Amino acid sequence: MSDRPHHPVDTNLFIGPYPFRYLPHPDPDVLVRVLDREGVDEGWVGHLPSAFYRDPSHGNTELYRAIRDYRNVLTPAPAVRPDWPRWEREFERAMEEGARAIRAYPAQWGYAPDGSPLVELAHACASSRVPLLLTVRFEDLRQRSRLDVAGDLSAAAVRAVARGSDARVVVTAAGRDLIEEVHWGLTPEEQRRIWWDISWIWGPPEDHLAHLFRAMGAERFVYGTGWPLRLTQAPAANLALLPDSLAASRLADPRTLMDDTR
Amino acid sequence: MLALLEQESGRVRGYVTVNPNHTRHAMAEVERCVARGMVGLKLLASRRADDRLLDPLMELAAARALPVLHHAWQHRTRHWPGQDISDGADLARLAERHPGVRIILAHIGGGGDYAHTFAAVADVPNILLDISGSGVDRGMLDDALAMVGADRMLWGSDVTMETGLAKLRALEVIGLGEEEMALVRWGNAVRVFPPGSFPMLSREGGS
Repeated sequence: MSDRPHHPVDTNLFIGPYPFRYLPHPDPDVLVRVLDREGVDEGWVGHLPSAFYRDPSHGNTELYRAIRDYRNVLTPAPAVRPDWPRWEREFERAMEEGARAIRAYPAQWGYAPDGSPLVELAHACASSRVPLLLTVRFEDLRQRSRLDVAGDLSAAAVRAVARGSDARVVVTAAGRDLIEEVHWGLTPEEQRRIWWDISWIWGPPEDHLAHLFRAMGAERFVYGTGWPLRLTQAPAANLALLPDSLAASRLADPRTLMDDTR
Repeated sequence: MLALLEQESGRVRGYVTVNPNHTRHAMAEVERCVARGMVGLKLLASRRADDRLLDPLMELAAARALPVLHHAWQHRTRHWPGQDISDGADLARLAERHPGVRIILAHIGGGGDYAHTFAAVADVPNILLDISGSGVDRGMLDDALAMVGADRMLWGSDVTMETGLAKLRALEVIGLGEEEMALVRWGNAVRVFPPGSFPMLSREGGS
């Protein structure tokens, strides 16, 4: 364990290969060592290839099997595609497997911005008291493969979920522009159902992270890194470089996101 | 920049930035600024790196022992505002025409396909990679190390865009030995820039 700050949960982790570039050893045993090194107690883990499968259920099976021996640290965040036949059974299986969050990829699945199938899944998440986890992007726009044409998650899709359901939503890999577009397009009550991971928010000198903490409150954000796609050191470095006035800021604890829904 | 150098002479060194489209002015500007203490040449990304128009400036850099910093991105499939895009292969052709000039490929994390860049410059020993930039892909530093080695990697932050702290921390976990770490952090810079550029450092040890 390093002497760096402790973070209870990394909400934005994957195992498995990425179709558009090589990732060094994206494996659960390596991930557990990385989390230990970075001072993280628990990781919410998705299966990266499943984001690009038409039917993610087989990927979920691989996920459950791969992290079976690491469940003291790694908890599954499987993908459920709500326009796929029998998706409700996949959702139930996720609950039985102890999913901490349910991932969905509306951009990769080609949903319209109003996100109607997504809202159906959000209702299921709310009923089962599990957060819905959305991913804005996997890679920098400037280096994407020509085959990677899905585009980023839209602000409209996030707003549709916030307005159309009571689900708790964690949005990963969003930048300042999308965060502000969504946040200021919601009522205060809707805003309180959305959390943002900090993996893709710029730090200083421009310091979007500090700006967002001041404007929205650090409690609207959760820790996330994007491993194995991104350096785990990036969000921790941006937290370490916060100005003195924000140094005491505390991110939300992802384990408590559902607490007031009891 | 010259004013900043005078004000912070103990810790700031300058690149003279020139537009290679205006050769005569650029040559004179290099002479003027080097005479006042600048230690490197930065080429505006206003021509492809392999353009013959850059040759007179490269010859001047060789004569003055100045490293040349140049941007390179591999995204020829699209153009971006404000950049006349060069890729690693363009820069490699320039470097091979001017083997006596140390070329710093700016910002491996600055966007574009860095994997293409690494492959394009791996066998061109006078190109060094500056590891700065907003891109923080896992595997980027590992691949750079594997392709060009620690003696061709340079620590950089990209201030005022970035601090580079994440990559500085990541260097600690990519398998660098103590000596290699020192090369990346400062040793290569001492070797590449003109003698005396860093009075607080020496070729033998840090500050």
